Amino acid sequence: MPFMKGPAPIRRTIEYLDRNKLVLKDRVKIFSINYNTKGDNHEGARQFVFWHLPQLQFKNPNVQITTFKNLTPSPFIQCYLENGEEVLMDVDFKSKDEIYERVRRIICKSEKTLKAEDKLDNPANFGSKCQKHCICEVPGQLPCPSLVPLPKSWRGKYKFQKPDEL
Amino acid sequence: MADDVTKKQKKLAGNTLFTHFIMFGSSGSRVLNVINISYLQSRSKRVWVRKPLGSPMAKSKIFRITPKPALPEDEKAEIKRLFDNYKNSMKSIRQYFFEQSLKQAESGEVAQTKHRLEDQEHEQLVEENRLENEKTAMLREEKLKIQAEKTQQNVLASLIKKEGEAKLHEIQIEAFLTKQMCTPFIQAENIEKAIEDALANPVNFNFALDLDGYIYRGKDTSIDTIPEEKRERLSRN
Repeated sequence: MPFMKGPAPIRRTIEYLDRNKLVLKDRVKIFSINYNTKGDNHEGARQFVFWHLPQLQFKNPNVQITTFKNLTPSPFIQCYLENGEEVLMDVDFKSKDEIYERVRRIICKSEKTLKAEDKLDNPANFGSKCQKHCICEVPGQLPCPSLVPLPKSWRGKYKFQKPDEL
Repeated sequence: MADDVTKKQKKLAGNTLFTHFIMFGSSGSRVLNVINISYLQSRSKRVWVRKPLGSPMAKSKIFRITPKPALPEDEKAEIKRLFDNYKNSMKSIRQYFFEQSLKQAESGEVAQTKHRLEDQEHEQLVEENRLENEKTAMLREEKLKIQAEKTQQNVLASLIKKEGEAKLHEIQIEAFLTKQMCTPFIQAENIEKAIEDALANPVNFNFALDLDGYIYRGKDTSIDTIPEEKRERLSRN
């Protein structure tokens, strides 16, 4: 199988895109980053855009992410929140890892929140993306009504049946 | 044929009941499974779930043309209108209830406290961010200052260099001019004298060179007339 095209095509693999913790908070609607293509103080911002922006968009498909190039002498990140508030982060002379940590700390969901929202981890959740599909799979619970029908007094169609109206 | 089927049914025991149909007829022998499997035991009646997929059409039905129930156009329009109205109302009601339920979830105690905590955290983080920004701004100021000083020094150095070069250039010009002034130019006053001098001393540019490096000036000088010692040596000026 041939090599993937382009510089650092690992950035385009699902595994790479998935494996990061940049889930923005719900209140963030727009994320914009201003940087220049030349200049030492913009190097960190450039690297951040190159490596981490695809990951950010992958985890937040409903957030508008824009880049503005060669407009200002120093690089910065601006987040526009739901209530009109703007969070400005000055990233002049910062390295890509510093910027990553800062973004994660200030406007991304914390580890705790992510864990609480994670459907797979919590055995109390049932469904397609969870450990068990239905509570009837748990030993000790009611068996599936498709296998063993419920008693008529528990079934809505018999409980609320009005025989005189039939 | 029914006997075959019931025999097969009686063979199988337990909760699950499979019915295998073996069709002998114009199609030949085929064993077909039934699609729907009922998990409830039915001991009395033979359950006909559906006609097996490969079996041919019954003789009484092959030329059958089912009468299509055609409604008049205006009735269809009326039905559609009623249906659309009903669907729209139900959908909007359902949507409204959904939004209300969301609002309810938001306004509950737990949700309120959660929101408050989140807001507090957010304020804290924004404050932190502001401090970081200030730090970065100070760092930037310092770096820019250093850069400004450097550029200032560079500019000064280049200016000095330029000045030095200009001076050197001036000196060179002076030297050249003095050299030029030394050469005897012929002004308006000296012109007659110069003409007389030129007429009096004609310059003969003819000469011949020897392989030994001796020069013999003049067009008509005979080489033999000049004695050996008085020969001019061609020098390098």
